[in-house]
Parts: sequence; structure tokens; C-alpha cells
Amino acid sequence: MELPVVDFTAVYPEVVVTLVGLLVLAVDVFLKPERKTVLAVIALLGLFLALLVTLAYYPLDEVAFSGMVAADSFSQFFKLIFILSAAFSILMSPRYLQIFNINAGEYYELIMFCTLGMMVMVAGNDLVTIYIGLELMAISIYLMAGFQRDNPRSSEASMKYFLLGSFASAILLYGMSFFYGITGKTNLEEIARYLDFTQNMLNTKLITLSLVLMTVAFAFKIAAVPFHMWTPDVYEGAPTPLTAFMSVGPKVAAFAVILRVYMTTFHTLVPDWTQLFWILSVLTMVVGNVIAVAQQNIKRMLAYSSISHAGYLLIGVISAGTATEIKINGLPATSLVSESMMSVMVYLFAYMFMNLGAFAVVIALAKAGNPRELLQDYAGLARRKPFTAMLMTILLLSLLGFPGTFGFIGKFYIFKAAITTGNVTIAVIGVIMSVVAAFYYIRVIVYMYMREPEGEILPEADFASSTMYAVITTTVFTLLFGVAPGFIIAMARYSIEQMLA
Amino acid sequence: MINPVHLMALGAALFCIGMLGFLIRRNLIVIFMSIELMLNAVNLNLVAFSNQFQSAHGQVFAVFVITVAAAEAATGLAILIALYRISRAVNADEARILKW
Repeated sequence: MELPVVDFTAVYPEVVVTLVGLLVLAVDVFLKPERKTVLAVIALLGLFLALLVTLAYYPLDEVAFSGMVAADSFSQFFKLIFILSAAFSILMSPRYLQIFNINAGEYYELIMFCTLGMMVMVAGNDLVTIYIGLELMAISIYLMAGFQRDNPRSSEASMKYFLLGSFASAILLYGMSFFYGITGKTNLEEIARYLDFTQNMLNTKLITLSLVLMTVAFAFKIAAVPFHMWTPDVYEGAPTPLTAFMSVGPKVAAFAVILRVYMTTFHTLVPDWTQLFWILSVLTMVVGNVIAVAQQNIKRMLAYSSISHAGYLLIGVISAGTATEIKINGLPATSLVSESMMSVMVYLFAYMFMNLGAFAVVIALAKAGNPRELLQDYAGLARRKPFTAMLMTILLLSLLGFPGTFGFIGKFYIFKAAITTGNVTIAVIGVIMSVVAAFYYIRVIVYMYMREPEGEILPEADFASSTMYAVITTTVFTLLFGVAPGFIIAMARYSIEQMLA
Repeated sequence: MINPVHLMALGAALFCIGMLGFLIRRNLIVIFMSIELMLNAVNLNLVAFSNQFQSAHGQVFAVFVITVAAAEAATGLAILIALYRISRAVNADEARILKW
């Protein structure tokens, strides 16, 4: 019997994140409760190291661990997003933890392991790897959502997320078990090969059933309507830095897996899944945007806004799917496919910066005993804190898709992909819904600049240093990539060409 | 003779019972148990297919599922206890601070 070759170069970033996570856990034992910030520093340094390692090995293109792990530039692209989002979330945390009196070191350790789960998930080249990564991510997040144990909201959010999340993963597994039953394989490439060869001879009903089951489970993870019910509750109840993290990480990871699995493995089933995603996308955009208008709590509003962003992202996925069926002069239109997939990846990168930034502003304004998450807490903010108000304005405009920001670049490519692949109807619905979105984003800006503060004016919180670094950095990146997105676009294009080749 | 179709039917029945339990029951612990039932339906499927193909992949997958299910159960009970300490209830209808 031959033992499989173990090639660690494929998983160096994962190794770094694991070791740092364990180090954080070990150091935690020796620290006094008031000195837990040291752990944040260790975690940040570790993430910086992981970032360097990821970049040092860029671009990789190999399949390691007997085909279980695909270390390609596609997964590296997403690993960068996860590492950055974890780093920003950690940067926002110390102040929040101090205000709400949370003194547990596991906090940083859970962020590290959640990041690890997401990294394993995007590098998964096998149904087993994807499942393990997904569960590591999900279990860490269930616990993180309930981190304020004395707060009933936090516990309730955690409970709701746990129940619905494990329900979704059971459905995902049931779908996966049928794919194994049909093909006899768990490796994505082998499943793809099997589906290609035996296209007409298979039990199509069973394939459709398992495809629907898996799509439902992924729709849970990206919070697409009608599987979004947990999102606002969990986002509101969880500690804000973790809300920021969980609004970005799992969604990005699930989209990465959707891109990889649906575009490379299920590409013979395109007509089936584009239909499913079409319905999900329209529902998500309409329901997400319309309910967001009615929200008075900023965290809840951002939750619904993140639901609606999943809808826009699904437009890109649908375009990529339909592009595989378009033929130009009898040849498959590969450039259309890669442009559509690129649009999703760029949008996800943009979404990471602007969403984390917006949540960081919410944290920067929080005060002991008063989380200040309501819309009226933002009234007259521009007069009291002009700099913070300006940054929040830029981030909200980016979420809206205002030209000159990264959000605009993302939306532009998504809608361009939809129109060039002939999905005009859904592009029009998306644009109309972006107009609805303008209402609730701009309303916050109106409150900040044009309303007088209501009720008694509380003295302002002191300058929250590390949280403000997070706000400033995300805003700078939002503007920088809004003007010069070439670097990100080139990286996304390259990784897709490599994956589809 | 038991063939894979019988096992798939049993798996489907277990999965549906678990799903119904998840949707209908109100006690959080019973809801947990329903999820476990769904996971076991998956395991049954995997092992049946594994036997059919004479390949170990499915059994390995089932072992992973069992392991993760244990981790999930531990997490779930921890969260349940945290919730119980505050609200003194294990009823899904009581968890209604957060809505809309």
C-alpha cells in the first residue's frame, strides 16, 4: 500500500492560522483579564504572517492531499479576503469588548478558527473538505454569536443561528450523499467527469433533487430570501465586531464554493441551477431592499442590506452560468464566463471593505450601557464628529454603488456581465432595487448631516483608536480601489482562467 | 434481500421525520434530536452507497459526519444552557426578543 504524499506548501496559510489560533488559546491561560488585548496583537501578527505567506506563494496551481485540497490562485484570492476581514474584525474588537465587559480570550481564537474553516472551505476540492470547512466556520460562528452570555439577545441570536445553521448543513449533506450515490465519487473533478460522460443516462430526477438540496443549503449560508430569516436576528443580537465578521466571511466563503462547485462540477446542469438562482436572486433583492427601508436599528438595516447584496451577487453567478451556454461563431464564449465570474469576485472584495467599515463605525459610536445602534443616535453626528460622519458617508455611498467608490466598480461589472450574457430582465430588477437601496443608505446620511440630535445630548465617547484605524483603512481601500481597481480585477481574471483551463 | 433502494427509502423516511420534527416540535432539545435524526439519515445513505460501490469514500465521509455531529451537539447544548440560565426556558416560542 502506498501512503499519500503530504505536500504542506499547498496549505501554509492554513497552517499559520491554525498555529496562531492555538497559540492564542495557550497564551490566554497566562493572562489577567484586563490584559487580553495582547491576544488581539498576537492574532493580528499571525494574520499578517498568513497574508504574507499567501502572497509569497502566489500564484499556486496544485492539487494536494490526494485531491482533497485545491491550492490554486482562486482559493488564494479568497484567502486574502478572509485574512483581511478577520484582521479588520480583530482591529475593531478591543474597544467593544472593553465597553461591554467581555473578557474571554476564546474570542480571538474563535475568529482564527473560523477564518481557518473558511480557508479550508474555499480550498476544498472534495465534498468532504468543503463540509468540514463549512462546519468549522459555522460552529465557530454559533459560539461567537452568543459571546455576551449575560445578554439574552446574544444567546437568543446564537440559538437561532445554531438551529437553522445545522438544519441547513443537514440538508447540504443529504444533497451531497445523493451526489455520492449517483457518481460513487466525492472528489469534485471526478464527479464533474462522471456527469460529463454519462449526461443522458443518469437518473435526472435524483440529480435535480440533490442539486436543489445543495442550493437550499448554500442559500442559507449566503442569506438569500426565503432562507434569510435568521440573518437580521443574528446580526442584531451578536456582538457588533462579530456581526461585521459574520456578515462578510461566511457569505464570501459560500459564494466562493458556489462559484467553484457550480461552475466547474455542475456545469452540465447549468439550465437547472440558473433557474433556481434566478428566483432566489429576484426575491432576495426585492425583499432585502424593501424591508431595509422600514428598519430603525442600524445593525438591522445593514443586515437587510447585506441580504440584498447577496441578491446582486447572485446576478453575477447567473450570468456566469448562462455564459457557459452562449456560443460565438460555434465556439464557447470563455471570455464571457470569466468576466461574469470575475464580477462576482470583485464585488465580494468590495463588499468586504465597505461592509466591515460600516460596522466599524457603529462600534466606534457605541458607549458603555448604550450601544447607540438606532437611527436617531446618528442625528447631528456630522456636527459632533465630522470626521467619523464623513467616513460613514463614503462607506454608505460605496454600499449604494456611488461612482468613485469600490462598490460602484463591483456593481458595474455585475450589471455589465448580466447584460452581455442576455440576462437583461434581472439586471433591470437589480438596478431598480439599487434605487430603493438609495433611500435607506442616504437616509442615514441625511440624519447625520441635516438633523438636530434628539433628546439629551450625551457627551461623546473618546477617540476609539484601533476601531478608528479599521474605519479609516477600509474607507481608504474603498476609495483607492474605487479609482484603481485594476490590480484586483487582474488577480480575479487570472485565477478564473487558471481554474477553468 | 435488502438492496440500496430499501436503505435509501429508510434514509428518506428518517430524514423526513427529522425535518418534520424540526419544523413542528417546540422543545429546543427535541429540535436538536430531530437534527441528529436528519444527520443519521445522511449517514445511512452514505454507508448504503459505499456498500453498493464497494468504495470506502462514503464510509469515510460518514465518519466525518458523525464526528462533526458530536461537535455540533456539544456546541448546541452549551448554547442551550447559556440561554436557559437567562430565560429559564427551553421552548422555541420563548425566544422572541429579536424579531423583524
